[in-house]
Amino acid sequence: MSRPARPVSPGFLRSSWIVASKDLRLEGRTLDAISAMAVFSLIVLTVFNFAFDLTTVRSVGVSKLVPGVLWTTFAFAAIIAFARSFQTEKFRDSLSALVLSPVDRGALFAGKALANFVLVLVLQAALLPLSAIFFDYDLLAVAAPLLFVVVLHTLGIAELGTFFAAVAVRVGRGEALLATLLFPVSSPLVISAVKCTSAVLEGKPLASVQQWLLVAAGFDVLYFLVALVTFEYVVED
Amino acid sequence: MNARPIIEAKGLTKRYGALVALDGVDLEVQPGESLAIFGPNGAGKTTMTRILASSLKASAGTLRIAGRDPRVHDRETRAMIGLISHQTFLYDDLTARENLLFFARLYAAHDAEARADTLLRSLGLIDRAEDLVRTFSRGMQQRLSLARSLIHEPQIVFLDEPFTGLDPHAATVLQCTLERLRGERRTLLVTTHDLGRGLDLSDRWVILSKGRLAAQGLSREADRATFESSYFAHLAASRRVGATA
Repeated sequence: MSRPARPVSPGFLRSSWIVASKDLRLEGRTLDAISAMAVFSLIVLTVFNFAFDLTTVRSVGVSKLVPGVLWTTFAFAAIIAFARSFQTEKFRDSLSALVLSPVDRGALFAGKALANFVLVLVLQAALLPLSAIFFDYDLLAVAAPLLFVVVLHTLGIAELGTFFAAVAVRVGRGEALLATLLFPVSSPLVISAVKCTSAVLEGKPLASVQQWLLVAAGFDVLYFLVALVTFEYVVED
Repeated sequence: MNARPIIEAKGLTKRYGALVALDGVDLEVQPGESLAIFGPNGAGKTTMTRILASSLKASAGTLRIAGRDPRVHDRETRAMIGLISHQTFLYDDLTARENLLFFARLYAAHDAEARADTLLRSLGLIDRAEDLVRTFSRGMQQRLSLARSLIHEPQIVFLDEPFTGLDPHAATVLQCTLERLRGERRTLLVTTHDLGRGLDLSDRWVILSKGRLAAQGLSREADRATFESSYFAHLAASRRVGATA
């Protein structure tokens, strides 16, 4: 009886995890992206805090003002992580080694998107309590639905950001191109995120924004599938 | 009788807009053969290496690796190939061992840790295994890059200017490793400007000029002095043609 052939590469999920854990290990060691994102976010939140004092926030309403501030900050800060994830690959052209390996190119995308997703979540975990202090709202009272909203929308933004960061690095452009591509395409997700966050801060049930949640989930799946299929053409020379 | 070639290229062409980097190259390489690819800067050596290594798509022509079309059997083909390029493909903020284990896992390499240790030891890097690559000299990084390219025991190893920027010790270690690989009957394709080393390391040589195969022969039959003078005469002639064109 013939021996089954040894697989030439790990499976999709394992390959994705190998890539993601490498990226997270590198970031854990250098803290390059996280520290840059944290400084940027802190400055933006502080500026908004001075622009809208508590009297203004209370008169306008936390649910009207804070979601826009939060998601603008998240989106711009996340660009730093997305760009950084491919600058690391470009520095010694290790992206070529990844592409040359027998791993499914979709798994390379999924791994890098997963690492970016985790990095942005870490940033959000630090920023949300800070925003609750700055804008005086009860985070604990809305923690569970807010967590759901944040995870659902951040996933799609991380997928898109990772994909466009790969495009930007392949065509030799930097964060300017990444931002130009990312913000228009991610606008449905960001609008949905603002609407859902607003409802959560108003104390409404998530069912009241069911359509927006479905839009976000739909875009998460759509972006993932499109990136899986097309990533190969982005990273190949 | 020769075995079926492990690399069969017919009419390989690569265009970048109006620029033709590779112009209809036909090439066959037998399993276990070592081929030196010579040529001046801009001759198309790197382009050809990357196309043969399946990391760059040709604009035209056909390529078969181990009898298979790499576009159809892409993952199986990539698993057979190791590539050393101008860049090291390493991560500066991982240790030497972490770099090797990362790539070993991508190739589902059997017994990755033992394999990584064996390579680190044979390339004289075992004492620096836990150090970050950013602390390595150019020569050490190149040796580690060689280990990276061999971690999955590839049947075909492409080396694009592997001796560039190496100190004499690093160059000697690299040469010994390549001679060992020849002894193991792995297929090697080495592009280099170092005619002496290229001839020493190869069974056959080709000269690439302006994207075309200009000459080829057997390395053991090449008289070093004659080869060098005819090589440089050939380069001078191709430059004159380029200048008048």
